[in-house]
Amino acid sequence: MKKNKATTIFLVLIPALLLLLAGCSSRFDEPIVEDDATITYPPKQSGDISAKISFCRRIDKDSGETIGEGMVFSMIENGVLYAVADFENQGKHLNNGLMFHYDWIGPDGKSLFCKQIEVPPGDSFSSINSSISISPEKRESGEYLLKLYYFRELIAEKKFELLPALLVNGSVIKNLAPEITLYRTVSKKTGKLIGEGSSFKIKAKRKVRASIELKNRFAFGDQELMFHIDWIGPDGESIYRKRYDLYPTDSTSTIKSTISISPKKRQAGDYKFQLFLFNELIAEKPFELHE
Amino acid sequence: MTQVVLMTAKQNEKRKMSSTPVKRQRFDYIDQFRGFVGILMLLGHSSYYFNSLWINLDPFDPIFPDWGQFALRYVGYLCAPGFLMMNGAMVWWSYHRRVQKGTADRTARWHLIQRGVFLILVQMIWVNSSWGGFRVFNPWHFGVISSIGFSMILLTLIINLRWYWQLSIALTILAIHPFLLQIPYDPDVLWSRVLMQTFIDSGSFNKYPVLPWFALAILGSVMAHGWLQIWKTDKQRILMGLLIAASAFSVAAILRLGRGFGTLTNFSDFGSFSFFLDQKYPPSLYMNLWFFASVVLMVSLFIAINMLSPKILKVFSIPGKVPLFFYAVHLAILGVFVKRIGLFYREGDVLESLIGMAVMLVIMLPLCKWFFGLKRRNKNYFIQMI
Repeated sequence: MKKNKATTIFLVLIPALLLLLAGCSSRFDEPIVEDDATITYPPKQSGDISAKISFCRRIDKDSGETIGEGMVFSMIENGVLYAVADFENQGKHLNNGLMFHYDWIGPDGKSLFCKQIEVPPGDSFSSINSSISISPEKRESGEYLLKLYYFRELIAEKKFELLPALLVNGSVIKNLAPEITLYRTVSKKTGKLIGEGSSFKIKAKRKVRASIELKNRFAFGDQELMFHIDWIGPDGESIYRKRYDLYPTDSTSTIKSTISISPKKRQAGDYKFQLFLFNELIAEKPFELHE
Repeated sequence: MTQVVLMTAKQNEKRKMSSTPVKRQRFDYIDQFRGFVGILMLLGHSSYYFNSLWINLDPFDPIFPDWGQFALRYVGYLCAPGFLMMNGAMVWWSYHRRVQKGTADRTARWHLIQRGVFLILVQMIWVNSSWGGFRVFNPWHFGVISSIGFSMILLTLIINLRWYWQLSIALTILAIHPFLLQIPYDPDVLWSRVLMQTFIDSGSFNKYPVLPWFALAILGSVMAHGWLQIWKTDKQRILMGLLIAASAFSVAAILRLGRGFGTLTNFSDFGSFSFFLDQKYPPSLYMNLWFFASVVLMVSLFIAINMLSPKILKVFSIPGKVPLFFYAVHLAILGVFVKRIGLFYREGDVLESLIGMAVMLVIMLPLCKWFFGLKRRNKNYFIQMI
């Protein structure tokens, strides 16, 4: 009788135990902090997917390269922050499609945005990205966290910091002390500027160049400096605009820009070159084009 | 449920007189399993109120930081199938017991319909508001209790059918449900939201649509034929239960591994979190089969443990005899003290959820004992309904 009971219990307990073991984690509990500060939960099986996370301001549409990588970002109107996960061993798991979740966590610990990304079977990829707005009206400054899940299981996380938008005032401008120089070209032999001034002759293949020297560019610590330049025509309309983001890791303190002044493209008149920091005009220099 | 409690009480009296082991166990495992599921539900609710995971957890698309949090959530997945199946089993038993005692067919069915309506009203009047500690009266949505109520009412229509016809109906509903989920509707349009989410889909109006859960209630009724009538010994119940559970697990696993019909979300590998976490709201065919199998397996386990040591599971009978009281009261206490007053609301983790459950059990078990006694003594209509 006892033997029968034991057999019965055994018969029931085995499948019950199998049930209890259901849903084993495929990751180690102890995380590893990678060189780039990504916290990863390594797979128990070698060859399973792992990922590193990076944050950037922009992703080049053509090359897919990240621009303005970092972990500290200033909020800016209409600004966007990208998180890019670069994977290892993803190719081995593509047969049945993959599922990821990006969970953006705010300074209060609450999820700001959780996005599920499904990779269809057979689709090749090495990285996937997600983005959030970092406009000051939508976010507050503080420490944020991005969590990356693979098939509902946490595999990597990384922190980043949002700084308040830089208030562009007189002291900031004085600190930066931008100095605009307009010139025609640079001597290949000496490196000296040629045709420096504020009046230029319209001529085929000729160009006007602007060089902006930022005196105290490194006085802003971790703060990124988001510039844009604008060349304004005689009608007051922009003829060329470009964004320049200077990150704490950049060594440059000079911004350069060039426009063509060939007769086909330009007409005589009064022009302006303007420099903006966080969409605020901080310096400008008028110049004239003549026949 | 009421009838089962009475039956169990009567049976307990008989047991005392005859002290035959087979009789002693006959319905204890139903009460115990129902109590076990109730306590798992309390654990799930304790996690909902104390666990910081819930600050960000989307139950429709869950993600987990670690195994503990996954396990805490996953054990709760057994609750709704457990309750629906036990309810189906008891509806079948209650109806046939009443008819055997000489109650007219129509009266026996009417009693069950009343109880179904009562459950729907409990959902709307009590449960919905108790989640937030009765801060807001919000009767206009449904949940698991109303789904049980609807299932009870619908079960009365087929309660006289033989088990294989009931099984056919349940399997047909489960097989058709994935196709019904493809019916397009606009959740912003009130009538289509109410209609679709009452019966087919899940959403803000109702996470527990009637159709798939009714199918599980029918399966409970089918299993009751075996547990309470056909299989005469515990050994038979265990072996047949194991056979049925193994078959259902196998079919569910084949469906899941096929990654096609019957599953709604992708998974990585067999045995991973994602393998077990297919869609719960509403449940996929895989989830329904998997948890049907889990319930049958667990009931077999309870019968087996009772054979070996009847005292081990006795504590589960306490909430299991008054499951609706247990559900409604623990939820109200948590809602008032944790959500409304803000006592440790979502400040903890897995451990705090377990502590919360333990504290609530200390409160709830004596209350359940008291209410069971009251229910035996007092024949008030509403008390008998609870």
